[in-house]
Amino acid sequence: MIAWLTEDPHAPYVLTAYGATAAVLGALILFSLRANARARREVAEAEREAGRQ
Amino acid sequence: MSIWRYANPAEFMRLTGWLVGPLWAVAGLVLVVGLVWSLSVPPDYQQGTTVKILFIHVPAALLAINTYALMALASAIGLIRRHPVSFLVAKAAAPIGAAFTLVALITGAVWGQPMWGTWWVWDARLTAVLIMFFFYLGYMALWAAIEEPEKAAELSGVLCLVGVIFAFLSRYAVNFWATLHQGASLTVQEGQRVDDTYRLPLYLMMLGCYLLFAALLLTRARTEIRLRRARALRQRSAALAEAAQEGATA
Repeated sequence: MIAWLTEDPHAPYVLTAYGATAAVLGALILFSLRANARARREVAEAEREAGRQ
Repeated sequence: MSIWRYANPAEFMRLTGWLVGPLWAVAGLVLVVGLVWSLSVPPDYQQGTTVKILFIHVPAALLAINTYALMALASAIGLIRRHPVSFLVAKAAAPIGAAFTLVALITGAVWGQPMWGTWWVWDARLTAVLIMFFFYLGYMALWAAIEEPEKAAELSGVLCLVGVIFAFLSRYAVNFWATLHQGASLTVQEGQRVDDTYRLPLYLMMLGCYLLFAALLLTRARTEIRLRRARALRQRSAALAEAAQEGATA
């Protein structure tokens, strides 16, 4: 791996492509799961409020 | 039994509830195997190790175009049949499509520099994909800018349908014009197709990305439905509280 990084002139391009993809898709997954957890809490809260009335 | 019953939010939540977890697990597994395989293929005789970039570029580009097609279909169904889930599915798909389009643009540029000698050219396919990316951003901005959900759904649905031409051009521009971007590489014709050494891990990465797309889409659509339900419950609570207050003062 280290040899590939130092010897292959294309290694920085491959690493950049995979790194950028991991960052974009990682952020998308993280935001999607967080938004889903927040929506769950909001529904539970709204249902509690509606139940009180 | 009509398929339109699945457009009912409660039915959609019930049907997709058991599917989301396994989808995430299978997508993760396929992607891990696909990534290991993609990174361990031997260098191509022309492209060298930059061929490894194509294992993410090709699935991302396919998903960028197909997600827009799905959004357009869902928007058209929403506008014609007035099914709220259709609009919500289109809304849920937009950030996923935008992310895959961004990945396709970045990986394409990073592959293009060593192979074409340039990060970017204004050829028909690349330009169409860039404009499609702006349509994704515009669609999300329109949803965010309009407070009334029904109005936001209709207007962004119309915008989505206007942008279909660029999704179509992103796919077929290489057939209409002479472009620097090559045509279809995944042909089934013997003698022209990509060697199995590269084709099989590419298919696996495509499967992994489609599974990830499905898991993300279902998760995001369920989020939108939950937020819609929370909003409806709050509006009902507010209306009841207002009625009770009026009754007390009368």
